[in-house]
Amino acid sequence: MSPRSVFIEARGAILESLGSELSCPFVQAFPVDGASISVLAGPATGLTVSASDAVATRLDELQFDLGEGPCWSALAHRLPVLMDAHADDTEWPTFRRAIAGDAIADRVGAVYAFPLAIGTLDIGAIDLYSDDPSPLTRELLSEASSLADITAWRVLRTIMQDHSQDYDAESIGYSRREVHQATGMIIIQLGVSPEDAELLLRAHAFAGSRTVRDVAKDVVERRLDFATRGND
Amino acid sequence: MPGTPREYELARAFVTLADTLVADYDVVDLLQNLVDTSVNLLDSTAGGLLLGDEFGVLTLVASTSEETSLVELLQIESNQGPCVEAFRSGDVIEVPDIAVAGDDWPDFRAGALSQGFVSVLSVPLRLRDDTIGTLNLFRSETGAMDPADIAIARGLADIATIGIMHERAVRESDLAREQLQHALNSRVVIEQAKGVIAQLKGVTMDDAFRSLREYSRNNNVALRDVADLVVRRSLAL
Repeated sequence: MSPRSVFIEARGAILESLGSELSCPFVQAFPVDGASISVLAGPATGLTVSASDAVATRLDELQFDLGEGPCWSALAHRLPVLMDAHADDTEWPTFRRAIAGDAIADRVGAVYAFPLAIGTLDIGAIDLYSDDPSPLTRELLSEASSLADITAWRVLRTIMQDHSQDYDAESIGYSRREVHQATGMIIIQLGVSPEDAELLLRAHAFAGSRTVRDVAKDVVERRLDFATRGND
Repeated sequence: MPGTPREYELARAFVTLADTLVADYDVVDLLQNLVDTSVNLLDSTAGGLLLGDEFGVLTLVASTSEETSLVELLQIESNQGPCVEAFRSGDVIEVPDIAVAGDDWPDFRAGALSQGFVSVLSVPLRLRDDTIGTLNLFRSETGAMDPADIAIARGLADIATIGIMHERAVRESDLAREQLQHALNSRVVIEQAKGVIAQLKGVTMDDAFRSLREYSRNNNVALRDVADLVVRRSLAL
């Protein structure tokens, strides 16, 4: 199956967009009414990177304030999650009640959440909403998932750009041998470039409020593998 | 008496080092060669070479083994110890008995003694007023080193230094600085390549480094270039 041209356009838009524009390609490529992208892990937790409209922003807020909702489940399970807002379902009861009692109730028929994660690193989620309770076909779901994957890298770069100075300050005065060795190991663990491997190493340290050197030591001593969850 | 094995070894070391300086040499290979040769010839058990970066901060560039214990010791030495003194003063610093002499460098003393290194010699890599780094030789016996050995260490270090600095005189450019920066940058790629091999093969960093060096030697390719290929996944060792 050759990808739809809207998909290709959306992918290009994501690769070139600034953080705040990241949600727009999703609204253009899929039959949904709005989209939001938020960070759900590490010190930047709760940051809405991009939201296409006020409804999307509100959906994000509610889930974050309540600590439940499709975005949290998507990230935890590393799978796209659908919520039919009007269905009689026991999942996310507080979030459902909150929507029903909110000004946005009429606008939200369905919420799709896609995880933003790279290897074992949790980043956040993308929420798409629509007034139609079931807007996405299986094919569109898989397209949205692959756009979410490249969005994960964009979001990560955006977050880490703001923290590159911390990193430079930390690196002065000691040899960074183990950082480079760990970078080499991550190249293989995730099949990424040296630049991306080092970015992930930094991101992992940032997410856990640890030093890069500390995380690198865990990688080199094989206590931490970026491809395998559970030993973190 | 000419023709003794020792003299033969010595002559060969100087020739090899000089050979490394022909047109196409890589500075990392040159310095690795210098460390290995010095330790082999000069009654010492381990060694390392540190270069100063543009801010004068010393960084480990080559060592006789990549074992963590030795690397860590040399890293401590980049902050305190005879190495820093040799780098600052441009003089050879000899510590015949670390146990009684190291009051000013407690971390270095503890690290060295725990590995059985009881004396050390730090030789500056110096040309006139420029000191670019130091060569450090650790020994497992106390006492002053044979003055002839110290002279040889200086000779070897001088050749390497001239090799690096000579380019500046010839080309009137900042090539010498570039050479040093290249050496320090090379270390990044070499460490990454070690990580790649360690992850792929499940071996130690030391073993990973050995296979890099082996390939470099057997195929006559600079260590840095081998590392580049490994990191870009164009070469599997």
